[in-house]
Amino acid sequence: MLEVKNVYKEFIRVNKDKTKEKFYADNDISFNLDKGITLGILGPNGAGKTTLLRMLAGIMEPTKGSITYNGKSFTENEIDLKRDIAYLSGNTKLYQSFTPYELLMLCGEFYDVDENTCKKRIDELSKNLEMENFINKRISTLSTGQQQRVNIARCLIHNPSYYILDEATSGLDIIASQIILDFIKRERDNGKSIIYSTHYMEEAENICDYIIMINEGKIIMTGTSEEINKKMKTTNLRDAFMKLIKGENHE
Amino acid sequence: MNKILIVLKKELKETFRDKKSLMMMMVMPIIIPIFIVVMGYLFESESADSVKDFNKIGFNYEFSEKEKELAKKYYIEPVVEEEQELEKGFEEGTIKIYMIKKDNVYTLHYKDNTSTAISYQLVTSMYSDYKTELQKEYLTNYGINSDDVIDIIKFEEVVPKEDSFIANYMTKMVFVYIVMAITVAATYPATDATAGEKERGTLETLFTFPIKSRDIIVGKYLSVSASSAITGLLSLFLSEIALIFIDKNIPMIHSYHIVFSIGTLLFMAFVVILMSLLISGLTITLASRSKSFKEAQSALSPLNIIVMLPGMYAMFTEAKSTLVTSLIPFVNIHFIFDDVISGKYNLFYVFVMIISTIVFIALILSLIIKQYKKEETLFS
Repeated sequence: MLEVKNVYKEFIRVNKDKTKEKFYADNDISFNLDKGITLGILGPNGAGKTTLLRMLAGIMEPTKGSITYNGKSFTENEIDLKRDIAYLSGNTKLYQSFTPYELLMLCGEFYDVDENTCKKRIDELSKNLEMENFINKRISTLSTGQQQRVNIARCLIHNPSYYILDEATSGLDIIASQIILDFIKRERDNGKSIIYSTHYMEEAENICDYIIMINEGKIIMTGTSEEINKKMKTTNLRDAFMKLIKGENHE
Repeated sequence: MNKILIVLKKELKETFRDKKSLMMMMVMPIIIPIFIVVMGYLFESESADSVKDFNKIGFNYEFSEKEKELAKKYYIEPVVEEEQELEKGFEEGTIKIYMIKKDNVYTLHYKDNTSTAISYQLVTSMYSDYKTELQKEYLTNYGINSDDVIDIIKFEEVVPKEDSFIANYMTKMVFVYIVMAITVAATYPATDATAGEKERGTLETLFTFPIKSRDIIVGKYLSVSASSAITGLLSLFLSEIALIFIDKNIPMIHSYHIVFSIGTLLFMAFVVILMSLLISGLTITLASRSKSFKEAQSALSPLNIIVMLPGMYAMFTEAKSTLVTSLIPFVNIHFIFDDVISGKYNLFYVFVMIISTIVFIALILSLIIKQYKKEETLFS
């Protein structure tokens, strides 16, 4: 289980007049995530979603608070924890001079997957994600959709328990986005825990079991989409969110 | 497999598949030998021109057969005219130097300046030989073994190799260019592996893998070091071939013994590896602090000049290694290289240079590791 307790992340902002100012990108964030649950982190750009997810993936450290996976923190168990996590963001790019096969073998080596198991998994993933036609082509020659499939295969190669997906469908066309959404559903059904951040409220409504809405670094609402709509007296999460940030019915 | 080795393998694969990186690695090793050969031929041509300009020497008498033979040996082109004509030519500058013979007295007229130095050397050498030949003839006529008298004492000249300007210049220049090649070869891969990877968005992915930031940056550092060492060693090998070529094909160069000995080559190969480790450390330190590829390239540009300056200083001065210079990075390597090629090196200073360079490499490496943990370095 993932436990996030009172997490703060402080940054220093340089203003136009060149004065420096401290601010919290994430301010007192707490939540838990059980197995087989898809958790949606919703909020506008600049809400603190990416910073939060980077901390959850162990590539940033919280200024205050704790993040533990099954009771273990990154401070003492960084390598073990990262071995059980897959991180995919909208900004995640692949090594263009590699072929998907070479990239997946490299990822396997990083995750300590033995060579034979890795080769078997690449064969399976290649079939499941329909990558057979381009598995040995340079990534630089692949389309966005094909690259996204390689990115997903990269996340699956070590069979992790947790997926952290940050704006994973951002900037993708409808087909490439659907590949990601199908992947999320499939992995949730396989009992994996997924943290999915997006600013597309409709998308979250469809695939997330539980929602956390954040704005300006603070949690402003939590619950299932039905619960949030009920509380906010709205029919969709977009309206609920707009109501919340306008302070019309603040919790 | 060790995670550092996985990163190293990944970085090398990227470097060797990137045309720009390959070009940066290969361009200097190709240019340096071409430059050496061109320099060799230019030197030969320039020296021949110098002799040609100053070998026209005036004489007021016709040469004997013996004198003609000697004049040919010393490339002297005699201008035989009356004394007044020679005087006039000397005043007008058409003749730099002339010899007046009256009975048994030979008087040389010349202006003591650098433009007559070669002419003076040629004519005095010729008359020294001529005088010896006449003395030998005279003694032989009286039944005396001329060698017993003429060579009553042996006079030999030893010109140390370090005093030969051309040999010094060529070999020092080769070393300066090899250092430059190492720097150029380290710059691009260092920029690409740090700021480039950040800009392309693959660095974040790398940090999500179960691998310590220390292992990532050490792997990157080793990859940059390997690229620059390959360039340095290749430059050294091809430079040696170029030096052998000009040594065999340009007689004037041959007398200067500019080809590196096996011992010097092995020492240089070791120094090339040390320099690659040091320069790669510096390039990685500067590049990883940069926010973009362009910013990293701007930050690294002055390094190309900084690493060459001590070499340029050593090239044009007679500076020798001291304990202090042996401690200063870059300065120590250039100065000790000069000592090694002149054959007058102090093993203690060589040892100090090696230890000092290793200490600096270790310091830079610890700085890189410390710096690479910081979030502002990774996500700025």
